[in-house]
Amino acid sequence: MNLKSIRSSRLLEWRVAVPGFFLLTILFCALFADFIAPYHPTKQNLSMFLTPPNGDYWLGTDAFGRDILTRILYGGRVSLLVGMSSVALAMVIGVLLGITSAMMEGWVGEAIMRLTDLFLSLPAVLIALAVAATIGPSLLNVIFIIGLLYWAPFARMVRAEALSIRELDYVQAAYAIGCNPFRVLFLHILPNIINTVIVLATLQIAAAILLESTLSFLGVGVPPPTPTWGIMVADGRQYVELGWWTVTFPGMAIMLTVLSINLLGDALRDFLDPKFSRR
Amino acid sequence: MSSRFFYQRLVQTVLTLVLLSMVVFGLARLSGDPVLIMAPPEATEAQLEEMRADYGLDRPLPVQYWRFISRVAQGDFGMSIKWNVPAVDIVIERFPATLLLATTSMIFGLLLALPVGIISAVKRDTWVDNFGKIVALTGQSMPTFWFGILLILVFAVYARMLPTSGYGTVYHLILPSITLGGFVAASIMRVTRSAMLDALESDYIRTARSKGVPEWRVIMVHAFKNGAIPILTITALQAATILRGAVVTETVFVWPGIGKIAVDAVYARDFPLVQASVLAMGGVFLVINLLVDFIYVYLDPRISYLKK
Repeated sequence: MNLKSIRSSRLLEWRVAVPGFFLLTILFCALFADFIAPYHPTKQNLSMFLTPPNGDYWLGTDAFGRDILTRILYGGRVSLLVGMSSVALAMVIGVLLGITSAMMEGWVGEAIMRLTDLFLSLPAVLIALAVAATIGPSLLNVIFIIGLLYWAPFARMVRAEALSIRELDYVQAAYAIGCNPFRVLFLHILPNIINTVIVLATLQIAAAILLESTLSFLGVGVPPPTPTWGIMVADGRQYVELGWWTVTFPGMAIMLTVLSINLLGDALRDFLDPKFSRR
Repeated sequence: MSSRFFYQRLVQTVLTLVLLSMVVFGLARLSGDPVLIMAPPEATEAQLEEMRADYGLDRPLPVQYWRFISRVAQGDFGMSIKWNVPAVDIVIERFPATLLLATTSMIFGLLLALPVGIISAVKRDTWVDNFGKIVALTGQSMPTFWFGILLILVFAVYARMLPTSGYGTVYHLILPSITLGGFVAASIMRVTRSAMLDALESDYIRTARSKGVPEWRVIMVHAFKNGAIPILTITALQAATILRGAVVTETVFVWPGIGKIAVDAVYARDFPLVQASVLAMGGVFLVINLLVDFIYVYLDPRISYLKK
């Protein structure tokens, strides 16, 4: 191993370690918010309303006198839960449909691709907003809506990958010696796609968290009193002239979380999937 | 351009539009009984039945869809429940505001993305490049609504230079344009950088340099012209993406465009208006994508979508 590749592998370790550590911290804080949060997340204390950041309230309080740091810690629960479970749902749907469309050429495959195009072209925020407003906002509904809106990138990518891998010599050889198509699929095609799927899933979690916070901001996400970062920004917006901290810190929590996931996704891409690496 | 490719893409787009119309149709049916929203609260069950029959809601779903789509094809989405004027008229009336915002945002996005992308490629792996990368990733990680509110906080609340929201003067346009322009700048920047990197490594660049062409000319003329196709493509695609960003940006800045009216329509359960605006936005997005594909093949005949 020459010096340059040692340096770049060190760099890669850092690029995974820093965002990974930050995300683990957020995860830890969200899981154990009950023990580490300094105040109660929903109990109102009107005598302390809109207190600027100080020694007791590190990030200040909102218009109901609730501690912003506490609510950010609890808010991480919703973002991480929705982000991961909606993308898990999207991944299952997308991979299944992508594989199906690659294996079944003809009108089935074509129909799936048209459906994929449709979902890639939908104005996601608007559809999510309309559906959430119609069926009523709840944690489960938000997860299902985002999951059902975000499967298309998986389907498109899995199909493209499967089609190109299918043409490779060893897969053709497997067919030639009479392997059953399912054996070829599970033993030869899927293992070659899995890394790309992991990378895409990471980046999609970032997008899902952004969509979840947008829905919360628009008032159709997980309903109050559950603290979410999006609702905190929406609440703070009304008092933005009286207290900058009410919108700044929850938004920063969203940004740092999404940024860490994106950085992690980029590093994973270079590590797991070198052929797609951006220079 | 082969005509087969042309027709294939055209048919695909029309099919996708039909699917989109089914989604939009289903959306309104998902809400339960539209008659209950439209009817006055004191209406009797018999009157409700009569209304259902009037609107054709007692017929089977495929029949209802057929009625819906044949009206939509004639530009008739029905009356907006909230405003009591044809929903299409509202969408057409609000579209210029969105178009204006989209245009200024795109200009701002390009002014930001092109120079930074080109400089990042030329100064590859220096601090400039890394800084550009970090800014682009941070921009992509910021919720649009939060970025917009921060701009309001800094430039309207504290500096008092610009209005917080609304419509009318050039000053009202600045903050939403920065918000929406920043939303699309990150992707354009990344593509510009990698397109320029590809171009700068080519043989013709080496030739140009060796015959003594000034470096700025090598970069701006020889490399940029050849890197222009991917940059044009991503710019056109982002023009479509702006429509999605517009939904949130227009809400934050109370900009009276199609995105704001759609959000308001959702809150008001004004389904004809929701249908008209979603179909309009999705349709524009699909058409832009179709045009991008055609332009792409026209500009670079090496690309053939048929060979797969």
